[in-house]
Amino acid sequence: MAKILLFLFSIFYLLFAIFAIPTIAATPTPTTESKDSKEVINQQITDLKTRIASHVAELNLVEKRGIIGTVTDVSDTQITIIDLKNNTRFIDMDELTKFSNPAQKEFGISDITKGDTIGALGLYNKESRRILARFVSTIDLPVIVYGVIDSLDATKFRVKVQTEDNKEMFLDVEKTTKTSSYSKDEGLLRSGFSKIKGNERVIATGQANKEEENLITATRIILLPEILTTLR
Amino acid sequence: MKKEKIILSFVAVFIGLLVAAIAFYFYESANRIADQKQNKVVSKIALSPTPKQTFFLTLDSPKDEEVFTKKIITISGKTTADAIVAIISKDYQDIVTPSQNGDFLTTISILDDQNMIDVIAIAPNGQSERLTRTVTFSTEEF
Repeated sequence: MAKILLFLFSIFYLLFAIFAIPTIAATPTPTTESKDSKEVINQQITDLKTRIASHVAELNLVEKRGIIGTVTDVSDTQITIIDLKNNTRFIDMDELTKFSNPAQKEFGISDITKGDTIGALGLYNKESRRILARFVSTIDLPVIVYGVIDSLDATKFRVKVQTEDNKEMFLDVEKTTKTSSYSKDEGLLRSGFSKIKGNERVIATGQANKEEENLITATRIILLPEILTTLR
Repeated sequence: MKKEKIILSFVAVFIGLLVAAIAFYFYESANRIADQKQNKVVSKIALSPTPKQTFFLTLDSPKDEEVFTKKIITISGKTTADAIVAIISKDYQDIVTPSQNGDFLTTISILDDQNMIDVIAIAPNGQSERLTRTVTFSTEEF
Protein backbone atom coordinates (compact mmCIF):
# COMPACT_ATOMS: atom_id res chain seq x y z
CA MET A 1 0.00 0.00 0.00
CA ALA A 2 2.74 2.42 0.99
CA LYS A 3 4.57 1.53 -2.20
CA ILE A 4 1.54 2.48 -4.33
CA LEU A 5 1.14 5.79 -2.53
CA LEU A 6 4.86 6.48 -2.89
CA PHE A 7 4.67 5.67 -6.62
CA LEU A 8 1.67 7.99 -7.18
CA PHE A 9 3.30 10.76 -5.17
CA SER A 10 6.50 10.41 -7.23
CA ILE A 11 4.60 10.71 -10.52
CA PHE A 12 2.70 13.76 -9.27
CA TYR A 13 5.94 15.38 -8.08
CA LEU A 14 7.66 14.63 -11.38
CA LEU A 15 4.83 16.20 -13.43
CA PHE A 16 4.81 19.25 -11.17
CA ALA A 17 8.57 19.60 -11.58
CA ILE A 18 8.36 19.40 -15.38
CA PHE A 19 5.48 21.86 -15.97
CA ALA A 20 5.32 24.26 -13.05
CA ILE A 21 8.88 24.96 -11.93
CA PRO A 22 10.29 26.45 -15.19
CA THR A 23 7.35 28.85 -15.38
CA ILE A 24 7.89 30.05 -11.86
CA ALA A 25 11.63 30.36 -12.39
CA ALA A 26 11.24 32.32 -15.63
CA THR A 27 9.16 35.06 -13.98
CA PRO A 28 11.47 37.80 -12.73
CA THR A 29 10.88 39.26 -9.29
CA PRO A 30 9.50 42.77 -9.89
CA THR A 31 11.09 45.65 -8.10
CA THR A 32 8.98 48.70 -7.21
CA GLU A 33 11.08 50.97 -9.48
CA SER A 34 10.69 48.85 -12.64
CA LYS A 35 6.99 48.41 -11.84
CA ASP A 36 6.47 52.22 -11.84
CA SER A 37 8.37 52.79 -15.08
CA LYS A 38 6.48 49.95 -16.71
CA GLU A 39 3.17 51.54 -15.71
CA VAL A 40 4.30 54.89 -17.15
CA ILE A 41 5.32 53.23 -20.45
CA ASN A 42 2.03 51.36 -20.61
CA GLN A 43 0.14 54.59 -20.02
CA GLN A 44 2.11 56.32 -22.77
CA ILE A 45 1.45 53.44 -25.17
CA THR A 46 -2.29 53.62 -24.37
CA ASP A 47 -2.33 57.39 -24.95
CA LEU A 48 -0.51 57.02 -28.25
CA LYS A 49 -2.87 54.26 -29.34
CA THR A 50 -5.89 56.43 -28.50
CA ARG A 51 -4.48 59.40 -30.39
CA ILE A 52 -3.63 57.31 -33.45
CA ALA A 53 -7.07 55.67 -33.39
CA SER A 54 -8.90 59.02 -33.18
CA HIS A 55 -6.74 60.50 -35.96
CA VAL A 56 -7.36 57.48 -38.20
CA ALA A 57 -11.10 57.71 -37.48
CA GLU A 58 -11.01 61.40 -38.32
CA LEU A 59 -9.19 60.72 -41.57
CA ASN A 60 -11.62 58.00 -42.56
CA LEU A 61 -14.67 59.97 -41.49
CA VAL A 62 -14.02 62.93 -43.75
CA GLU A 63 -13.06 62.79 -47.41
CA LYS A 64 -12.93 65.11 -50.41
CA ARG A 65 -15.97 64.81 -52.63
CA GLY A 66 -17.54 66.66 -55.51
CA ILE A 67 -21.29 66.63 -56.11
CA ILE A 68 -23.74 68.00 -58.66
CA GLY A 69 -27.36 68.83 -58.10
CA THR A 70 -30.31 71.12 -58.55
CA VAL A 71 -30.89 73.67 -55.82
CA THR A 72 -34.10 73.26 -53.87
CA ASP A 73 -33.36 75.59 -50.96
CA VAL A 74 -30.75 78.19 -50.03
CA SER A 75 -29.91 79.87 -46.73
CA ASP A 76 -26.86 81.82 -45.52
CA THR A 77 -25.09 78.72 -44.31
CA GLN A 78 -26.67 75.85 -46.21
CA ILE A 79 -27.74 74.82 -49.70
CA THR A 80 -30.10 71.91 -50.23
CA ILE A 81 -29.88 70.12 -53.55
CA ILE A 82 -31.32 67.11 -55.33
CA ASP A 83 -28.35 65.22 -56.76
CA LEU A 84 -28.17 63.24 -60.00
CA LYS A 85 -29.55 60.16 -58.25
CA ASN A 86 -32.55 62.12 -56.90
CA ASN A 87 -31.22 62.14 -53.33
CA THR A 88 -31.58 65.22 -51.14
CA ARG A 89 -28.13 66.49 -50.15
CA PHE A 90 -27.09 69.20 -47.71
CA ILE A 91 -24.17 71.50 -48.45
CA ASP A 92 -22.81 73.53 -45.54
CA MET A 93 -20.93 76.74 -46.12
CA ASP A 94 -18.58 78.82 -44.00
CA GLU A 95 -16.31 81.84 -44.43
CA LEU A 96 -13.83 79.73 -46.45
CA THR A 97 -16.37 78.68 -49.10
CA LYS A 98 -15.70 80.26 -52.50
CA PHE A 99 -18.37 80.80 -55.14
CA SER A 100 -17.97 81.05 -58.89
CA ASN A 101 -19.97 81.29 -62.07
CA PRO A 102 -18.36 81.20 -65.52
CA ALA A 103 -20.85 83.82 -66.74
CA GLN A 104 -20.46 86.25 -63.83
CA LYS A 105 -17.32 87.79 -62.41
CA GLU A 106 -18.75 88.62 -59.03
CA PHE A 107 -20.78 85.77 -57.73
CA GLY A 108 -21.86 84.88 -54.22
CA ILE A 109 -24.31 82.87 -52.17
CA SER A 110 -27.03 85.48 -52.79
CA ASP A 111 -26.82 84.78 -56.53
CA ILE A 112 -27.74 81.13 -56.11
CA THR A 113 -31.43 80.53 -56.54
CA LYS A 114 -33.84 77.62 -56.48
CA GLY A 115 -33.63 75.58 -59.69
CA ASP A 116 -29.96 76.38 -60.40
CA THR A 117 -27.66 73.48 -61.19
CA ILE A 118 -24.57 73.68 -59.06
CA GLY A 119 -21.44 71.72 -58.39
CA ALA A 120 -19.86 71.66 -54.94
CA LEU A 121 -16.43 70.47 -53.89
CA GLY A 122 -15.66 70.04 -50.22
CA LEU A 123 -15.22 67.77 -47.25
CA TYR A 124 -17.84 65.08 -46.95
CA ASN A 125 -18.56 63.77 -43.47
CA LYS A 126 -19.58 60.12 -43.67
CA GLU A 127 -21.32 60.26 -40.30
CA SER A 128 -23.45 63.37 -40.81
CA ARG A 129 -23.62 62.80 -44.61
CA ARG A 130 -23.15 66.52 -45.17
CA ILE A 131 -20.58 68.24 -47.30
CA LEU A 132 -18.70 71.28 -46.04
CA ALA A 133 -18.20 73.13 -49.31
CA ARG A 134 -14.93 74.81 -50.18
CA PHE A 135 -15.94 75.62 -53.77
CA VAL A 136 -19.43 76.11 -55.18
CA SER A 137 -20.05 76.90 -58.84
CA THR A 138 -22.96 76.95 -61.24
CA ILE A 139 -22.70 74.47 -64.09
CA ASP A 140 -24.45 73.62 -67.33
CA LEU A 141 -25.12 69.93 -67.46
CA PRO A 142 -25.38 68.27 -70.87
CA VAL A 143 -28.58 66.43 -71.71
CA ILE A 144 -28.06 62.86 -72.86
CA VAL A 145 -30.72 61.18 -74.95
CA TYR A 146 -30.86 57.50 -75.85
CA GLY A 147 -33.68 56.17 -77.96
CA VAL A 148 -35.04 55.47 -81.43
CA ILE A 149 -35.36 58.04 -84.21
CA ASP A 150 -39.06 58.51 -84.85
CA SER A 151 -39.05 61.09 -87.63
CA LEU A 152 -37.00 63.79 -89.33
CA ASP A 153 -37.84 67.38 -90.17
CA ALA A 154 -35.52 68.28 -93.04
CA THR A 155 -36.66 71.93 -93.14
CA LYS A 156 -35.86 72.59 -89.49
CA PHE A 157 -32.98 70.09 -89.33
CA ARG A 158 -34.75 68.53 -86.43
CA VAL A 159 -34.84 64.89 -85.32
CA LYS A 160 -37.66 63.45 -83.21
CA VAL A 161 -36.48 60.75 -80.82
CA GLN A 162 -38.57 58.41 -78.72
CA THR A 163 -36.68 57.61 -75.54
CA GLU A 164 -36.78 54.38 -73.57
CA ASP A 165 -39.14 55.93 -71.00
CA ASN A 166 -41.52 56.87 -73.84
CA LYS A 167 -40.66 60.56 -73.85
CA GLU A 168 -40.53 62.51 -77.08
CA MET A 169 -37.37 64.56 -77.45
CA PHE A 170 -36.36 66.82 -80.34
CA LEU A 171 -32.77 67.27 -81.46
CA ASP A 172 -31.78 70.43 -83.27
CA VAL A 173 -28.97 69.55 -85.64
CA GLU A 174 -26.69 72.56 -86.03
CA LYS A 175 -23.69 73.11 -88.26
CA THR A 176 -21.48 72.47 -85.26
CA THR A 177 -23.22 69.17 -84.43
CA LYS A 178 -20.88 66.22 -84.88
CA THR A 179 -22.76 63.24 -86.29
CA SER A 180 -21.25 59.78 -86.54
CA SER A 181 -22.37 56.23 -87.09
CA TYR A 182 -21.06 53.24 -85.14
CA SER A 183 -20.55 49.69 -86.35
CA LYS A 184 -18.66 46.95 -84.53
CA ASP A 185 -16.38 46.32 -87.50
CA GLU A 186 -15.57 49.88 -88.49
CA GLY A 187 -16.05 51.76 -85.24
CA LEU A 188 -17.18 55.38 -85.37
CA LEU A 189 -17.54 56.80 -88.88
CA ARG A 190 -18.38 60.39 -89.73
CA SER A 191 -21.97 60.92 -90.78
CA GLY A 192 -24.39 63.81 -91.31
CA PHE A 193 -28.02 64.86 -91.14
CA SER A 194 -28.69 63.58 -94.69
CA LYS A 195 -27.56 60.10 -93.63
CA ILE A 196 -29.90 59.89 -90.65
CA LYS A 197 -32.71 57.42 -91.31
CA GLY A 198 -35.85 56.88 -89.33
CA ASN A 199 -36.24 53.90 -87.01
CA GLU A 200 -32.61 53.85 -85.93
CA ARG A 201 -31.03 53.74 -82.49
CA VAL A 202 -29.33 56.95 -81.44
CA ILE A 203 -27.37 58.48 -78.59
CA ALA A 204 -27.28 62.26 -78.54
CA THR A 205 -25.81 64.88 -76.23
CA GLY A 206 -26.52 68.56 -76.17
CA GLN A 207 -27.80 71.53 -74.24
CA ALA A 208 -31.42 71.91 -73.24
CA ASN A 209 -33.27 74.72 -74.95
CA LYS A 210 -34.51 77.14 -72.28
CA GLU A 211 -37.51 78.26 -74.30
CA GLU A 212 -38.83 75.01 -75.73
CA GLU A 213 -39.30 72.02 -73.48
CA ASN A 214 -37.91 68.70 -74.79
CA LEU A 215 -35.80 70.50 -77.38
CA ILE A 216 -32.07 69.94 -77.33
CA THR A 217 -29.40 71.66 -79.30
CA ALA A 218 -27.36 68.64 -80.23
CA THR A 219 -23.60 68.81 -79.95
CA ARG A 220 -23.00 65.15 -80.76
CA ILE A 221 -25.15 62.45 -82.37
CA ILE A 222 -24.08 58.81 -82.56
CA LEU A 223 -26.20 56.54 -84.75
CA LEU A 224 -26.33 52.84 -83.90
CA PRO A 225 -27.70 51.04 -86.99
CA GLU A 226 -26.66 47.58 -85.74
CA ILE A 227 -28.83 47.73 -82.63
CA LEU A 228 -32.41 46.50 -82.84
CA THR A 229 -34.93 49.30 -82.62
CA THR A 230 -37.71 47.55 -80.72
CA LEU A 231 -38.01 49.46 -77.49
CA ARG A 232 -38.16 47.27 -74.42
CA MET B 1 -9.76 -3.22 3.82
CA LYS B 2 -7.86 -0.04 2.87
CA LYS B 3 -6.23 -1.81 -0.03
CA GLU B 4 -9.67 -2.81 -1.30
CA LYS B 5 -10.91 0.78 -1.04
CA ILE B 6 -7.96 2.08 -3.09
CA ILE B 7 -8.43 -0.59 -5.74
CA LEU B 8 -12.15 0.21 -5.87
CA SER B 9 -11.37 3.92 -6.24
CA PHE B 10 -9.04 3.20 -9.15
CA VAL B 11 -11.62 0.94 -10.76
CA ALA B 12 -14.28 3.67 -10.32
CA VAL B 13 -12.00 6.31 -11.87
CA PHE B 14 -11.20 3.96 -14.75
CA ILE B 15 -14.90 3.25 -15.36
CA GLY B 16 -15.64 6.99 -15.17
CA LEU B 17 -12.95 7.72 -17.76
CA LEU B 18 -14.23 4.95 -19.97
CA VAL B 19 -17.80 6.30 -19.82
CA ALA B 20 -16.55 9.82 -20.54
CA ALA B 21 -14.50 8.54 -23.51
CA ILE B 22 -17.51 6.68 -24.93
CA ALA B 23 -19.72 9.76 -24.49
CA PHE B 24 -17.09 11.93 -26.21
CA TYR B 25 -16.82 9.41 -29.07
CA PHE B 26 -20.60 9.49 -29.65
CA TYR B 27 -20.66 13.30 -29.46
CA GLU B 28 -17.89 13.59 -32.07
CA SER B 29 -19.61 11.03 -34.34
CA ALA B 30 -22.87 13.00 -34.17
CA ASN B 31 -21.03 16.23 -35.11
CA ARG B 32 -19.33 14.50 -38.05
CA ILE B 33 -22.67 13.26 -39.40
CA ALA B 34 -24.15 16.78 -39.11
CA ASP B 35 -21.17 18.22 -41.04
CA GLN B 36 -21.51 15.60 -43.74
CA LYS B 37 -25.22 16.42 -44.10
CA GLN B 38 -24.38 20.12 -44.44
CA ASN B 39 -21.77 19.37 -47.11
CA LYS B 40 -24.33 17.33 -49.01
CA VAL B 41 -26.73 20.31 -48.99
CA VAL B 42 -23.96 22.63 -50.25
CA SER B 43 -23.03 20.26 -53.07
CA LYS B 44 -26.70 20.00 -54.03
CA ILE B 45 -26.89 23.80 -54.31
CA ALA B 46 -23.71 23.93 -56.37
CA LEU B 47 -25.00 21.29 -58.75
CA SER B 48 -28.22 23.17 -59.54
CA PRO B 49 -28.15 24.83 -62.99
CA THR B 50 -26.70 28.34 -63.28
CA PRO B 51 -29.50 30.87 -63.81
CA LYS B 52 -29.61 32.53 -67.21
CA GLN B 53 -27.42 35.63 -67.16
CA THR B 54 -29.38 38.85 -67.55
CA PHE B 55 -28.09 42.05 -69.09
CA PHE B 56 -26.06 44.11 -66.65
CA LEU B 57 -23.56 46.93 -66.28
CA THR B 58 -21.18 47.49 -63.39
CA LEU B 59 -18.59 50.23 -63.02
CA ASP B 60 -15.38 49.66 -61.05
CA SER B 61 -13.89 53.05 -61.79
CA PRO B 62 -14.45 55.92 -61.26
CA LYS B 63 -16.26 55.95 -57.94
CA ASP B 64 -19.18 58.33 -57.66
CA GLU B 65 -18.22 61.80 -56.37
CA GLU B 66 -14.51 60.97 -56.61
CA VAL B 67 -12.03 63.86 -56.78
CA PHE B 68 -9.09 63.57 -59.19
CA THR B 69 -5.88 65.58 -59.34
CA LYS B 70 -5.20 64.41 -62.91
CA LYS B 71 -7.30 65.14 -65.98
CA ILE B 72 -6.96 61.71 -67.54
CA ILE B 73 -9.07 59.17 -65.70
CA THR B 74 -9.84 55.50 -66.24
CA ILE B 75 -13.33 54.19 -66.90
CA SER B 76 -13.59 50.47 -66.28
CA GLY B 77 -16.35 48.01 -65.63
CA LYS B 78 -18.15 44.92 -66.81
CA THR B 79 -21.13 44.10 -68.98
CA THR B 80 -22.14 41.25 -71.28
CA ALA B 81 -19.56 40.41 -73.95
CA ASP B 82 -21.85 41.14 -76.92
CA ALA B 83 -22.83 44.62 -75.73
CA ILE B 84 -21.35 47.96 -76.71
CA VAL B 85 -20.57 50.64 -74.14
CA ALA B 86 -21.09 54.33 -74.78
CA ILE B 87 -19.12 56.68 -72.56
CA ILE B 88 -20.45 60.19 -72.63
CA SER B 89 -19.49 63.40 -70.88
CA LYS B 90 -19.87 67.05 -71.87
CA ASP B 91 -16.59 67.02 -73.75
CA TYR B 92 -16.17 63.37 -74.66
CA GLN B 93 -18.26 60.74 -76.44
CA ASP B 94 -16.98 57.36 -77.45
CA ILE B 95 -18.08 53.77 -77.86
CA VAL B 96 -16.00 50.85 -76.63
CA THR B 97 -16.50 47.12 -77.04
CA PRO B 98 -15.92 44.87 -74.04
CA SER B 99 -13.55 41.91 -74.08
CA GLN B 100 -14.77 38.30 -74.32
CA ASN B 101 -15.43 38.17 -70.58
CA GLY B 102 -17.32 41.47 -70.70
CA ASP B 103 -14.63 43.69 -69.14
CA PHE B 104 -14.09 47.12 -70.62
CA LEU B 105 -11.52 49.80 -69.89
CA THR B 106 -10.76 53.15 -71.43
CA THR B 107 -9.31 56.50 -70.45
CA ILE B 108 -11.02 59.82 -70.87
CA SER B 109 -10.11 63.43 -70.26
CA ILE B 110 -12.21 65.41 -67.81
CA LEU B 111 -12.82 69.14 -67.51
CA ASP B 112 -12.13 71.43 -64.53
CA ASP B 113 -14.46 71.13 -61.53
CA GLN B 114 -17.45 68.78 -61.66
CA ASN B 115 -18.06 66.44 -64.61
CA MET B 116 -21.03 64.19 -65.25
CA ILE B 117 -20.06 60.93 -66.94
CA ASP B 118 -22.74 58.67 -68.37
CA VAL B 119 -21.93 55.07 -69.20
CA ILE B 120 -24.58 53.28 -71.28
CA ALA B 121 -24.25 49.59 -72.10
CA ILE B 122 -26.41 48.55 -75.05
CA ALA B 123 -27.18 44.94 -75.95
CA PRO B 124 -27.69 43.91 -79.60
CA ASN B 125 -31.43 43.58 -78.89
CA GLY B 126 -31.58 47.23 -77.79
CA GLN B 127 -31.75 46.57 -74.05
CA SER B 128 -29.70 49.11 -72.15
CA GLU B 129 -28.27 49.80 -68.72
CA ARG B 130 -27.14 53.28 -67.71
CA LEU B 131 -24.91 54.47 -64.87
CA THR B 132 -23.97 58.05 -64.06
CA ARG B 133 -20.89 59.18 -62.16
CA THR B 134 -20.00 62.61 -60.87
CA VAL B 135 -16.25 63.20 -60.90
CA THR B 136 -14.30 66.33 -60.05
CA PHE B 137 -10.95 67.59 -61.22
CA SER B 138 -9.26 69.76 -58.63
CA THR B 139 -5.74 70.32 -57.37
CA GLU B 140 -6.86 72.55 -54.51
CA GLU B 141 -5.61 71.61 -51.06
CA PHE B 142 -8.06 71.89 -48.18
